[in-house]
Amino acid sequence: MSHDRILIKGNEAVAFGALDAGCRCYFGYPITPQNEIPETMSLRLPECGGQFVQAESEVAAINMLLGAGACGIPAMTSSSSCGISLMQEGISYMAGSHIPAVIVNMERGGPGLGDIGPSQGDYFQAVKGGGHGDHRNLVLAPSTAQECYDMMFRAFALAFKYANPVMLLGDAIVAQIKEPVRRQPPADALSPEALAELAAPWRMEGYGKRGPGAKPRLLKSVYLAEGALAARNRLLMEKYAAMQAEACAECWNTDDAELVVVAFGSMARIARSAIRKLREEGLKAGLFRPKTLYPFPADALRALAPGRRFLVIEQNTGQMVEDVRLSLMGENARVDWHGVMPGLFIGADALEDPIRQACKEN
Amino acid sequence: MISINTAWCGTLWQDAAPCAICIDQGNSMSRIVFLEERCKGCGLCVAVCPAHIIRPSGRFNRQGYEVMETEGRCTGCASCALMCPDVAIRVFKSKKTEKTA
Amino acid sequence: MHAHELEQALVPQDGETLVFDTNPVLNERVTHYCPGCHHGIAHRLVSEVLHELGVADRTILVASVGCATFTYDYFNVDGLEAPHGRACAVATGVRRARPESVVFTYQGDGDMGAIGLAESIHAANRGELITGIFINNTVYGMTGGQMAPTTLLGQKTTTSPRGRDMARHEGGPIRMAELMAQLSGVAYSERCALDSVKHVRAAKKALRKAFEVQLQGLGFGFVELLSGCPTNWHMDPVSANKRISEAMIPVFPLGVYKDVTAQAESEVQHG
Repeated sequence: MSHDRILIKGNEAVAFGALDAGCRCYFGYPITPQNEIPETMSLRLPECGGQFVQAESEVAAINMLLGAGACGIPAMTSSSSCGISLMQEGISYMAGSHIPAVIVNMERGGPGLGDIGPSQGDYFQAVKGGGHGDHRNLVLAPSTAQECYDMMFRAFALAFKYANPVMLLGDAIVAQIKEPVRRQPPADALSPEALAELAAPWRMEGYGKRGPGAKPRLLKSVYLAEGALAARNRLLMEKYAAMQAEACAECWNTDDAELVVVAFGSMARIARSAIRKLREEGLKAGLFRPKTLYPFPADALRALAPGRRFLVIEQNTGQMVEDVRLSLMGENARVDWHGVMPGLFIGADALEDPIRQACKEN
Repeated sequence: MISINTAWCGTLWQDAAPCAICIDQGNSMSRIVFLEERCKGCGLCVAVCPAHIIRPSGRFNRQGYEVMETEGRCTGCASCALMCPDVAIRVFKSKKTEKTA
Repeated sequence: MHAHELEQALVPQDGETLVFDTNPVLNERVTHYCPGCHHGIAHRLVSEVLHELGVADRTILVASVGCATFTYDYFNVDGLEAPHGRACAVATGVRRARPESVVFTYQGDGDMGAIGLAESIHAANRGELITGIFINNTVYGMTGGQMAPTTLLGQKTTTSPRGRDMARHEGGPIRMAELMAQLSGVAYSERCALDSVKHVRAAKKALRKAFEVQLQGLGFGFVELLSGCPTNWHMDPVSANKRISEAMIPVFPLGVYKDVTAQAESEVQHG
């Protein structure tokens, strides 16, 4: 019998993925529903020579991450919704200073203290750049524990490739679900050495490390000289344009679909179950599942547009639907929306009627 | 004939015979009343009672917690009530106990 | 006991006095706290003090985040939620907006000692007319037992699985009562424990004092209450209670660390 998979929570998969990807620093603060991430890191990181710090708050944690990231060391934090709100200043600073960071958000219901159930209400905050100024996070959206593991490799690779914050956007279901996970680095994973190489041109390390005559470096986001900030912002625009190449989505049963459900994360897996059932009834529905939320896989979505209708299903009061409509502008495709209220745990049966309805409408 | 008012007696009697305490004091002693549905069976009252008269009862309330009961002479010191996190105890001090205390 | 028997039992008999009862400031809801959790005792003491001072009708409670998020369910006073750690800042806003009110915060280790440390210290330093009640149980309770600023050296928690160790730069227990006493604006700072009847009685006196300095306009009143967390200490309630006296009091000594009224008295005597 093969024992190549372990039964673990999404949170644990995140932690193991980070460890196996070469993460050597974790800074975080307890908050439900992601506590298994700091708890696993507190146990495992020291075993591989890494540093674990339970920070005094999420504000402190994101700034610790800024410090470690500035040194070109793979580092991460994790939190949930309200804690991520506290981190926005730090995220903006890291974007402005071109510092890599991996930030995991296991969303809970909001706004405010909300509840500890699943939600997708942080979508805008994640993809539109939730901090001040023009900045974007690269956002990955896992929907299984396996993806929680696999996407951590992608997260570190992209964070270092673009020297930018990358967010893994999960939710309470993805965080707490216990599934078999194959703990094996994906084929395209970057080694810790490769990550270090990417950081070499700008990292904080002491000029002595850079050989005789090396000049000191500066990492900052403040630019007061005339035109200097404008130039920095143009640099960021170029970076975000280049990032569009990283867009990624799953098309499932879309070839002959008349109605395509657009959903991510836990909503996508619940919708998948509902679609399976409706296919048995002969309804031609399919699923478009963005795996990156920024960059939004607009090209792939547009390619599906001819002859199809879309139903956006998300656990919030209307966020991703705006990006779907924006992506399909000019395509003359009908886009409907079905929202599940934050905090609720729904079954596939709750989505059958809305999808069935959307299939039948013309 | 000494009668017991089983509704207030701190010791929960199954039969109608008075215990030595009632006979001694002529039905006049301090007592505590447990608001059983508030009790969480933590046992702090058992630990602090200086007369050691509180004990688990073997009965369970609607929340599923084992509630406490008394057996013995209560002095009305209210230590139990002071320690109870669930405000589940009321204490009645009798003048007779006060005199002899 | 059936309901009607209970009702009968609660009627004082001849020659009896009811010497221990609840009070109208404490809501009669059964709490969500675990068996043996000292939050229940602390809540009751605060409600008794507010009742005896006759100020409940102008009291505003600023709740925190932790097991005590739901404190406002148990006090019959106006209650306001604050984000994690920000209760003292929110309370400052409340007090400045409504100078006629009586304001208190009720915060745990993380809320006051970690994420809220800056807000708590600065409200205290400014001498805000607020009473801050700090529940020290050496762990983060609500979130499942992670390390707190007050976790003892050697104590194992879910984020200090090897035992808290200075050598690993995990820090040592922060002593809030002493820290608060250093600040100019603090009028009263005392540390008490809730592990025995004697200590519970002393805690009530301390809480009363911490509210009185607010009412007298003298400054920030602070009381730290050493409490238990049976669930996250993995102990039964009675053993958890013992841990307070055996392990916590030696590290967090009980006592008054600042009392401007006592200073004033001694000045009068010696001046």
